[in-house]
Amino acid sequence: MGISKPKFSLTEVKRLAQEYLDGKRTIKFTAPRKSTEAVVAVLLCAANLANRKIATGLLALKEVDFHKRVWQWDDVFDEYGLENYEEYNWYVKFCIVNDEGEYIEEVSFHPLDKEMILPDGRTLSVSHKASNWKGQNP
Amino acid sequence: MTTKLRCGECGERKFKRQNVKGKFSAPWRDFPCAYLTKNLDLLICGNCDNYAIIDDDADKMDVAMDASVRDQTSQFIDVIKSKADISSIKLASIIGITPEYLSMIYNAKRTPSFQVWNFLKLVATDPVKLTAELDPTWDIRKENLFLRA
Repeated sequence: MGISKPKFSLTEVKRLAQEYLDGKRTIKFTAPRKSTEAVVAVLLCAANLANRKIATGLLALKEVDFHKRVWQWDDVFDEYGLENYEEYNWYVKFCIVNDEGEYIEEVSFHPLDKEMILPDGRTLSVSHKASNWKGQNP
Repeated sequence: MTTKLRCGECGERKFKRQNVKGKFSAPWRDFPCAYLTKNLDLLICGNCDNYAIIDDDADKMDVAMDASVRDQTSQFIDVIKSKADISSIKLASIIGITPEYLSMIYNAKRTPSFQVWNFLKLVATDPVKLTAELDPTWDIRKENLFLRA
């Protein structure tokens, strides 16, 4: 069972995401097969637009969308479930890193591949169209 | 150049910039898997071959992917025209596009959809046979395909 509060404040996350959209800061997509490529595969867009969709998705997150903290490697990531964004329910996982300047390290932003139950009781289901990603081939 | 950036797949910090021309493919626009045939420097993990997108990498990737698809399309049309005795009008009707659009994608002025790219690629595998067999006036109702056992 994860810790019930996020490590990173959504206000801070949204500030960094907005600065990315304004061209003032980068987001580091360190696993594009689980983020950029997943968005491209379902929204059929180019990579740059996919990354902007991810940043806009981060702006759409609400505190009630928080699922749990996840320990991965030597760090803590916040995991969210984003409901009905661009007609899909999304799995979102990121952390904020402060080594070569402050930035969001985006590890996952893809359509849910299994059901997610949020602490407020909402159940996010797998979209019937979500099989489009992960290779996308029919 | 290496960076301190952590790989989102394996957690190692072994990203290094490399030219991935001819070694990289990814979903792009409506292409389930577009193959890169132009120069592009990406951060590649030395441990697991994952890549990362930072700064303006996504813009550069889009430009390189777009140029690759346009170049490949042009090559497919070149192969078809050089091997099969076919006019642009006939080829366009086989593919299901206008001759003007065929001219634009041949001259790399437009990026075709995956459907058009894939059809051209198929025809380019055997231009003589396929341009002869893919008659645009073929009538699916007359063939009664749905009634075959």
